[in-house]
Amino acid sequence: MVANHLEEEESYLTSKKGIASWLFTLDHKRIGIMYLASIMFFFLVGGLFAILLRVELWTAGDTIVKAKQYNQLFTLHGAIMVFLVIIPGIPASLGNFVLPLQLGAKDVAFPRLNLMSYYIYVIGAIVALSSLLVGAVDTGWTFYTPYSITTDGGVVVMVMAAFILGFSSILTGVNFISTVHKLRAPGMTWFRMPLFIWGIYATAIIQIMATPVLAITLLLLVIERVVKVGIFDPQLGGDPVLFQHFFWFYSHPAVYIMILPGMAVISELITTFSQKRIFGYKPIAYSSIAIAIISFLVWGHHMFVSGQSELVGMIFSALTFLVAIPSGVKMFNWAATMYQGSVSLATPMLWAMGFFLLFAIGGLTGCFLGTLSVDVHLHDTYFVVAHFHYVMVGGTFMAFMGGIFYWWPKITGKMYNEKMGVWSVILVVLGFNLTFFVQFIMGAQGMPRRYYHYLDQFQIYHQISTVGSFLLGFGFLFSIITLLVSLKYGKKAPPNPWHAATFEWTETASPPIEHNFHHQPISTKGPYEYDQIA
Amino acid sequence: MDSVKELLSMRLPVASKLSWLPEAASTTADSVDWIFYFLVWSCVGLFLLVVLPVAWFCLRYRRKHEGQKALSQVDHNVKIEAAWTLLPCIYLAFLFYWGFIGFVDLYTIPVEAKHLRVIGQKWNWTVQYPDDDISVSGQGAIIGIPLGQAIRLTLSSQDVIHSFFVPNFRIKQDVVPGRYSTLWFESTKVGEFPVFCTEYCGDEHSKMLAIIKVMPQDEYKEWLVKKKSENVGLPPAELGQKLYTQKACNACHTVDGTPKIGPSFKGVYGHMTQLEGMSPVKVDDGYIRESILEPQAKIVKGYPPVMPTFKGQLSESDINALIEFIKSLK
Repeated sequence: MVANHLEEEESYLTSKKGIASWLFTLDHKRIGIMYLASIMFFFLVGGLFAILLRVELWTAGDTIVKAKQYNQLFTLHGAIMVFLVIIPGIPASLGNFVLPLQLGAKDVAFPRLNLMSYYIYVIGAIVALSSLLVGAVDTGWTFYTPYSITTDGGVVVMVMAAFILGFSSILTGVNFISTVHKLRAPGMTWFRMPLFIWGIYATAIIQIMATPVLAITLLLLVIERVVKVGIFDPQLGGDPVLFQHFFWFYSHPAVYIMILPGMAVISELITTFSQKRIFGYKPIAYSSIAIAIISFLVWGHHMFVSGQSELVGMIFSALTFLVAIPSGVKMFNWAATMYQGSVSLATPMLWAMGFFLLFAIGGLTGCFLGTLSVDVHLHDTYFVVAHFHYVMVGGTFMAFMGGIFYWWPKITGKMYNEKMGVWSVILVVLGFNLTFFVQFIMGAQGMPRRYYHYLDQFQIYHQISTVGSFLLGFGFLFSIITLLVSLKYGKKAPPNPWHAATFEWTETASPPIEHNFHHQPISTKGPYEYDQIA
Repeated sequence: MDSVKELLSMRLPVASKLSWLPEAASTTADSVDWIFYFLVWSCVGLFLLVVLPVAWFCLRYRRKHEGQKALSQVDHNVKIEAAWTLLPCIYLAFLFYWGFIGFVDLYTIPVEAKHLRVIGQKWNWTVQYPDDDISVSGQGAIIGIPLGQAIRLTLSSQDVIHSFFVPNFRIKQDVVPGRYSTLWFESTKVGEFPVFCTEYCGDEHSKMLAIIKVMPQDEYKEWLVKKKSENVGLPPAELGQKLYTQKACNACHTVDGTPKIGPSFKGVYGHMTQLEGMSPVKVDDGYIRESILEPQAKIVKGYPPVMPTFKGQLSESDINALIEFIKSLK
């Protein structure tokens, strides 16, 4: 299908020039790139805070900062990574770029709304950073009341930032849902959609259903602080645990806003690099929807020791185990996809294998935390810290990197150095395990999280973790360098370097033309029919 | 803050260096440990079950030349899919049930349990012994506990949410302002076990430590007697100095003139102090008394209004002792 003359057309990168052509673009591909650059910038900022935290924890007392700054650092690390990096993460950057291409559409359903979402994100980010001027927040990214009501500093500003960023998230979700419903290519039935789209679609549902709850909660928090109405503060007659219910009613589904797009990327990578139809297309598609639904019913597992009744604890424990099933189904299906495939261990696939390894650990340690009596011991210790880093970084971020390396030739038209790519994965996987595996041990031994001082006996674990964090940080830097170097020195990418079967590879050049396709692509088969493409 | 330094260098009692969990020292800990280790080994098994096949497929089906096609395009197998959906359900249902049973035990308080009250505040624990008319408090406070006796704790908070965590007992409970929560344990081993705060509560969250000291019955009785007589017959200023650390005044107020979260005590007595939004006031007995009991009444200029009240926690003679102590810091 891809004729050579396509490559000689002006690509979306060169069709218009000048900074204004980027800032006011309505092209989903350019907006995706602007998101990607912004998200990566904040990832580096959040990562720098992480490194500072790990350096501080080298010794049990003062190492480089005081307790107050330490508390501000972990708050900023968490808030930036959650609200500015992982939640927008894959959907806003890769989703924006890839979703219309995979559907065979010219753009998303509402291109102007798409640009507006980006600027709302930028405004939210600026507001978040401006909280530093008012006095850095030290509440943790969870803003638990009544602490967040009594503490000074820019709590109101930071909370407003999260509120604004929520709208960016909601609008992107609305846009993607409309696009999937309305702009699929002729012949592309729901079950001919690539699984990436199913994952992004399920994510968008959670985004528009859960995010308003966060917005309401944060608004109530601000109203309480400013107008002194008793909602969460016991001194004013409020209930602090109510805040936790509201907060987790959003923030647990948000965990799936983070991981579902990661799973969506992995489905693409494993099939393409095995050159084999995905095993269990429908179970994977449905499991995304199942996760989206059940994710609304498990928030109480963050609160087993908060004083909620034992009965409520029991119900949330049962529902929590239930959500493990669809995730397990996906893992097994991915494994089975590789059976009898033609497996290439190119860089994107190595990221996927890294995901597989780390997400398996992240998922299984979730079983410890869902088990009621064990969670009582592990709650709010480093075990939990390690668990969610295995899921969020080992899962989502590994998939994000895999996705970037997979679609890089399509996005930029350049191939990166394969050897450097392989080393990126090795460094990140080694550094990650060194940093976080010891935290499981530390947590089980009783080391609480958000601790500036710690018992001397934990020092060895903290030091191993700190060494690992340097390796991990270097690995991520090396990955980013690998990509940036390719912009200047990379070889020109062919339209379909991975022999993939979805529209963005088979129907358009690398990089695509401004309007994506010369002719409306027509879907005549499933998304992973590798034996039927040229 | 020597007590905290000492506490930080204390070893959490650990059975052996290779153990995942700290030494179990309560009646409910063993069953938690059983599930924990079952989880460790079953998860290792499950991990290998998914990772080994993938590793094998990577080797066995490795693409050896460009354009090599997959051996097959098999994309479903109902039996296998049913197995990997249903078998995990059984495993997870089992985990749920086992964890729930243990959870119920953690919350089933024996009727004969001895009652203690725990108050969390920024940044120390106070434990009151209603039957024995004593209380312990301060960072690094020693909480004496008789061996083999069930203890029921009623927990409340003075300010924000804290959480009472004893790793060796495998128990944890959030301490929420405006409500009471309960927790119980029965110790099975003599020794010293750390208590951590595990709900983030501000600057000195990580110093909000105490020690549970489990003693044989007779030793415990001696400890109680000693505790009761401890403060009797001390000169007021010396008692005040003790209370200064025991009640954790030192978390916010220094005695050497350096400002911390609150103003230093050094050289303030008898002098005028600047207030927020009010005319200056002389630091005298009445002012100090008011500042202890109603801290928000007058706020010293330049400091946040964050001090909790100590109403009901200090006797008349305690307050007098603190005043004498502050007076003595020239």
